[in-house]
Amino acid sequence: MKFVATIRNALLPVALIAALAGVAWSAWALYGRLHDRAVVRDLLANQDVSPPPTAKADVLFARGYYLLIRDRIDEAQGYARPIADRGDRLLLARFHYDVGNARLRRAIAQVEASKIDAAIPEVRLAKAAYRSALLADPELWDARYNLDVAMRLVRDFPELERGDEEAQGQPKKLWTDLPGLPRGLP
Amino acid sequence: MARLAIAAALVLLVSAGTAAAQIRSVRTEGPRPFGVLLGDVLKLTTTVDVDAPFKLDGSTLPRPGPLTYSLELRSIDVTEQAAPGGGTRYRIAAEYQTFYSALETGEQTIPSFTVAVSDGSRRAETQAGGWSYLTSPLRPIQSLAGESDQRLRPDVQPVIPPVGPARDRLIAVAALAALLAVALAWSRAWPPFHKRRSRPFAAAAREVARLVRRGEDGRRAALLRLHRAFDAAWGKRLLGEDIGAFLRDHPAFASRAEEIRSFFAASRRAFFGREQGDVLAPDALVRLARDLARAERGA
Repeated sequence: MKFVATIRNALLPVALIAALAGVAWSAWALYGRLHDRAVVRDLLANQDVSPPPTAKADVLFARGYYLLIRDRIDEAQGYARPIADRGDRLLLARFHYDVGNARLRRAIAQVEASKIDAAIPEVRLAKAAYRSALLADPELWDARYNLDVAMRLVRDFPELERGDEEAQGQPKKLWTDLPGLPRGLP
Repeated sequence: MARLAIAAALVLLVSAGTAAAQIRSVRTEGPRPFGVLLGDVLKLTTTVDVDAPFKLDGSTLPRPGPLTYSLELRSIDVTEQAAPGGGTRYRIAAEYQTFYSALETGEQTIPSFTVAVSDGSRRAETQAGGWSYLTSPLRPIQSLAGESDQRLRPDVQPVIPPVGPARDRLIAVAALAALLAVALAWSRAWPPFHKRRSRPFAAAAREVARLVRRGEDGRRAALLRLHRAFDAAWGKRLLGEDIGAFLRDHPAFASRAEEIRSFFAASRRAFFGREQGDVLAPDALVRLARDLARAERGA
């Protein structure tokens, strides 16, 4: 009986202490979230803020995007793994998609400048990025569309798999259906 | 529902000899075999019925990863259950994703894999899990009038992290803490609940702790204050002879019976006794008052 009475007496204070600990924890979490918000706002306002390695996935995504739209793709690609580690599959798919877009934009610019040799690996990397995006989220339809664009920009001929006689006959001519880029009259 | 219609392909086992006897039937089911677009996920289920002592050899099944240039195996999963009519039924659930960029509608195939069963010494194999379907292009070959062929879909922009959920959680926990603080104050008769009628000892304990520090007069006042608390709890004046009845009516204080009796004895000596000596020590008085306050909370 005495034991039960002790428990009854301790119940309320213990619950109150637990609730106060919860308040402290929630307040800390809210503070962190407000800070994240400020970082993303700065990044969107063209101020380069480097988030700490422990930052949440959406903050890392914002910083990666900041780098991507400034053509610092290799630097941005370093964020793919930390974002994957945070476990947000949909956000990871969107990051891969943005990487693919950045690479494809670069490739298209190179094709337009007739730097075909530089464009080929860039398109390959863009395709790989879109494929990763679709593996993470098959419902990301924009990735399907842009992957299709990339596929037609540079069609690969995987000779081994398709046994394509034409491709085997002319293994070097991978550029037969690179679309011409008519840009009006000279 | 037509979209979800399941097309089934029954692979009749024509292979003669031992294999047919041990692998009873193999069947692959998949989604509709047409209108497949780049990026689509295809879930194929292969059901294999195997005779009793034979077990499926998982090592011949394909591993997740790229299978061909344009086909990826996302996952493969084998579940086992009893087959109707004895033996074992294996369900091999394979999830493929196609990355084939079709220029026009055409047929594509998912390669079949080897299903091998063995009972330790004998072994039988068959091919299963193949599928063919019609893929359709996403875009026309000729670009739309006036549009560049390489117009891309726009980037996914970062969103500003929402603080709503974190803020709501903080408000909820703070409200809970406030509620618990009020409940604790009420239970212990702390201000603003110090006038609670059912908590005479809680108020008395606080005053006693203050009074005993004020010398001899204070000690007497403290004794009186505790007597008033007993009176309040009893409903009328409680004298030394009534302690038994008081404890019967308020069993919560029964565990303190000894201390209560010695308090009354000490109090009688302090107020009416000729002989000095066994006066209740201030510390003991404060402790008794607190114990009684705790006991009344448990009542």
